[in-house]
Amino acid sequence: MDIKPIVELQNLTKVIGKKKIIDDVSLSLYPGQITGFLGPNGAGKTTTIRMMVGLMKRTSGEILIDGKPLSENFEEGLSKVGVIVENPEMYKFMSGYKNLVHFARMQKNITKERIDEVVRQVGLEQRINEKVSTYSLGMRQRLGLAQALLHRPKFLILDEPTNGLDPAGIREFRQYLRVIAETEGVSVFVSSHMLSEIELMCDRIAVIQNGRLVDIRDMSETAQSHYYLELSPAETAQSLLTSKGYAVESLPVGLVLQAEKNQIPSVIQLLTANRIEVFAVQPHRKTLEDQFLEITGGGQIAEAHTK
Amino acid sequence: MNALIRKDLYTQKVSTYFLTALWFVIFTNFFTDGQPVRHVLLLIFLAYFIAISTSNKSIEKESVLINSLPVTRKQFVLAKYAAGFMWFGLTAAAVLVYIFLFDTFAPFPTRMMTIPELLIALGSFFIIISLFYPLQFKAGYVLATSLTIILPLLSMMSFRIILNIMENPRMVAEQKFFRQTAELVTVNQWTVALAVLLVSTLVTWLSILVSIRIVRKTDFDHA
Repeated sequence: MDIKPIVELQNLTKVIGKKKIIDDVSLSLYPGQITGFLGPNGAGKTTTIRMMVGLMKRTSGEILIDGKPLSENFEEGLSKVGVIVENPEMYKFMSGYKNLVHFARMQKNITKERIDEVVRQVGLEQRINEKVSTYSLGMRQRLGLAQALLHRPKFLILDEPTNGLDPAGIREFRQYLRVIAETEGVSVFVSSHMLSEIELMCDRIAVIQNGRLVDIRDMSETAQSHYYLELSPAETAQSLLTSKGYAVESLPVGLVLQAEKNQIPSVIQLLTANRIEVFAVQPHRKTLEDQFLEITGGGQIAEAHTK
Repeated sequence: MNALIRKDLYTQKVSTYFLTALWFVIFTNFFTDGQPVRHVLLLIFLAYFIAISTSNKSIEKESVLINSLPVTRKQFVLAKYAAGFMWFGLTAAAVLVYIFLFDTFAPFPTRMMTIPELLIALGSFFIIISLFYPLQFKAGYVLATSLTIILPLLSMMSFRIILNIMENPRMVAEQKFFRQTAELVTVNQWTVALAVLLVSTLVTWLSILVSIRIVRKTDFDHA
């Protein structure tokens, strides 16, 4: 990718006691992109995020924000970052608006107009003057997001942002993230163990397991390179395609073929030449759950679902 | 850092000021005593009470603030200590107004606080918060408050014991000792004040170093 990353993690490692919590994680995050940080509970998502914002010290490695090491430019680096770590902690006895004014006061060049703008963006105009103690969890999340966006960060980190939100709230939140990524070029980094949520929200996923980054991939990749074939007899077709070097996966009805789009005509020719009846060929998008199972070996998917 | 100091001021609950007012009752013996030493104690512990009330959100909980601001751990710690001057200033204003009213309207003799008395109070206040903050950063708010709240109680008890001794006709030698000490302190107010300030500066400096070291080593892993 030619675009310069806004954040780079370089060989990030965290050791607590004798245990390696985060093991040599390297990752680049780009403007305008929503990256999902996926992993089962306890995989190291929150620890990585906390190291990225200086809440936890790293044992080794470096974090670059806009090309500069965070360790040497902490204040400048963090001035470009907005973050919500789990549930936002606000002053509950104050109104939402006073909370925002309070946070705005502590940062440079945040005008009253900017506060009003973020309040509108997160859809809290009607309730912004009420005390935070009266807010639902979803409203607190939105207020937290407003606070994180006040200073127009280039990089937004959200740790389990939809915890406690109802489906409508999750959808609204997702749409809002898409808007700020696309219109303001903000790089958004979202951690979650909710596969479906990440699938709908992100352009790219990074998967962490047992403290190690086990995969980074674009969400569009698999959609373009997998095709569903409805054919008969399937066993013969599978043997044939495998012998020709294609990766084929058997489904209860038909096969999933891993191939580029321009290979499809020759695949069809090959199959028909070998008297295999082809009824349908269509792009097959693997669900994130399928991909996650592949990447992690499936051992922890149950945990990711049940927690 | 300025922003962090103002944060403490603006996020103070109004109820804290009402609770703080209770110390006026305790330290002035239900508004029946205008002794200067009571005013010094009142000022020290009033300022202490307000200062620790702003810290009742633990540093863990304040991690949201640390997240949202580009501040270093050192700045965070220094702001806590620097805010001490703000709390002391506000409290001194309230106490001086109170003493003025007492001096003007109460039917017993009293006087305004002298500058050495104010300096003694300032030095003593910083010694107490210098104990409080490292304890809070290391062991949490509850333990730090529990341990340092003993100080006002001990000082009140000591003061009461001395008053009892002064009223006891059988303790002549002790009364003589306390009278001489009181005279000595009164005569050498500036020397005592400067000595307290010197000790306070040293203790505060050490406390800041310890606090920065503790906070820098802290991982905020469960805010």
